[in-house]
Amino acid sequence: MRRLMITRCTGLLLGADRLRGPCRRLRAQRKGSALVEFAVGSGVLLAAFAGTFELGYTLNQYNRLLTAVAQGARYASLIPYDSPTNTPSAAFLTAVQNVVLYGAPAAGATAVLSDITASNVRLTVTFSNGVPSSVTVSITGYTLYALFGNHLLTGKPQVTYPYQGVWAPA
Amino acid sequence: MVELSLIGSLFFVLVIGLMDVGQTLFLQQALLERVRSAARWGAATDPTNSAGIQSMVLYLQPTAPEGGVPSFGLTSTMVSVSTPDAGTDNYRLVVQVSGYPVKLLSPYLAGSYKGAPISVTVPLGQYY
Repeated sequence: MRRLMITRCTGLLLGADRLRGPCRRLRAQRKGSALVEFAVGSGVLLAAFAGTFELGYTLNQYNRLLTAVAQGARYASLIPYDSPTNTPSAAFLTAVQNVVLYGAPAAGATAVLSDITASNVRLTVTFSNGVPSSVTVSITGYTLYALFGNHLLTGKPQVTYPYQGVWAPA
Repeated sequence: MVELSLIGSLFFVLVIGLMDVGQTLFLQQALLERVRSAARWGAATDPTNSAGIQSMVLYLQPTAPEGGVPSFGLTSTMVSVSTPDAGTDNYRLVVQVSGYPVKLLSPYLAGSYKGAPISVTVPLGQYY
């Protein structure tokens, strides 16, 4: 009955001055509507804000990782490569991993992101015509935590540079 | 009126907070760009020329201009230039900006803070 009256009483929405009969009673029944509107509106708004935050935060973390990986790949492309095969020596691998994690060839105190370890940094050396031709550094098995979901990074971000250093097999 | 005071306070806190975040991100990116270009200039000319690299960060030119004031409230003590591991494969140029002022406007947070260090490393190598 009440719903029927609302559909009939379109004058309420238009703010008509001259209402008669049952429509006049309905005008007094708008008490709860502000609260309901607030609940619906703020819920949507908060979800939008949280989503924006999540997107920005994740992009920020990813960008930090990308910068670190690029720095490590650049370092790896310049220093002498001391292994006869495409499996790098332990010292070479550790130095590259340290550059990615700490920005320096020696291990530092705080890594680029929390909970990231050397095992998350993968180094691939590619040979062509029997000499090292390129180095690839990537992040693998690291999880970016955010509000709504966690993103497991496998092989992302990844940076490849042509090898420009001196090949000096031990 | 009551609604305006309830919603308005929340709304304006949010807007001012957004301005602060934007301002801080802009400052960090601007400083990072300065440090990068200064480190690149140093690696291309003379990595041991700390004063010149410092001046590149502060003034975007290798010598300080007459009566010049650095942008973003920087001072020369905030810029450190070092070249560790000279003569080895790990010889590198490190330019770092730390302790630069970050000004916030948000309620309860307003004031001047010190920003997180911004560091750029350029590998130079043994044969530099």
